[in-house]
Amino acid sequence: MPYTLLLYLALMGLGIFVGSKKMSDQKEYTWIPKIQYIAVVVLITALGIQIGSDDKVVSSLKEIGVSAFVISIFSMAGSVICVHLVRKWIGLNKEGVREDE
Amino acid sequence: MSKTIILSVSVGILAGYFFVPDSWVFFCEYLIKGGLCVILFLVGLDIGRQESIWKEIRKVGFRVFLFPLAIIVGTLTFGALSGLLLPMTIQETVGVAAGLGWYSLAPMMLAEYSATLSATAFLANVFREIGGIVLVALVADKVGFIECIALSGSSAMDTCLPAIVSATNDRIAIYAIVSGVIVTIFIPFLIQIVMGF
Repeated sequence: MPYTLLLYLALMGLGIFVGSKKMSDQKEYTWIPKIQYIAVVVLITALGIQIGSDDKVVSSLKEIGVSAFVISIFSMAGSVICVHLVRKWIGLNKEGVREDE
Repeated sequence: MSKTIILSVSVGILAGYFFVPDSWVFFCEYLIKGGLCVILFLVGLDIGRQESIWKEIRKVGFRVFLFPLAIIVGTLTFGALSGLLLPMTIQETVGVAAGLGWYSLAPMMLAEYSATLSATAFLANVFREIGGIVLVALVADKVGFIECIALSGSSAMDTCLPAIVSATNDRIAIYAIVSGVIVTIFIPFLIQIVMGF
């Protein structure tokens, strides 16, 4: 597994390097979201096929859905609470502005 | 985008269940890996080219980094809490939560532990992205503007950004982008650390 992780990190790092050297902040690159969209659709459909072809997963799809929902609600609540505490701690108001700014 | 995801995964599940012969399913593995490689490179390009981020960060100061950190800590601790309620181990729920909304990467990385865990990671992180759009107005109104970036985790920098800016203001965009970028860079490490090398 660490090899796959290395591959992923290397690709992201390569992207950051190429992006910072060869691309402009101002220009709009419409091909990026287009290719990203196609890649996401292919990936998600393939993921769906894998889920659908696995009998064990299909038979427990309801429990998987409930678990996924609970985990996502907890993660969102936890993040909002922690960010809220940090915001109060560094003295930003509700709109994210420091009172003396 | 959320509609596309739901449609694609539904078509995929139905196709996988009814039509696609099992002998073909292993091709999906290559499609997923290939698709993910393309996405990672493009995400990198997008992060790398945004020079103005670094200038903006200097203007806002170090506090901009505290928020992604808080998002990661909140997600992992509450992810662990959810493990107490569910028929899953705490390691599994934290592993799923560590996807922080990146629904293409997390299921891929968890696929080798079990297909069920991978499917859970996919759904949970899709829900997180949808929550990041649907709940943003409520959080902006009741809790605060910066808290809006916490909902979506990694997608605060792209798919959820328009929803965040429209519920708050332009100032929050820089917090959203910086936080999304930092969270995104951390996700592969977090999942790997939680699941063990």
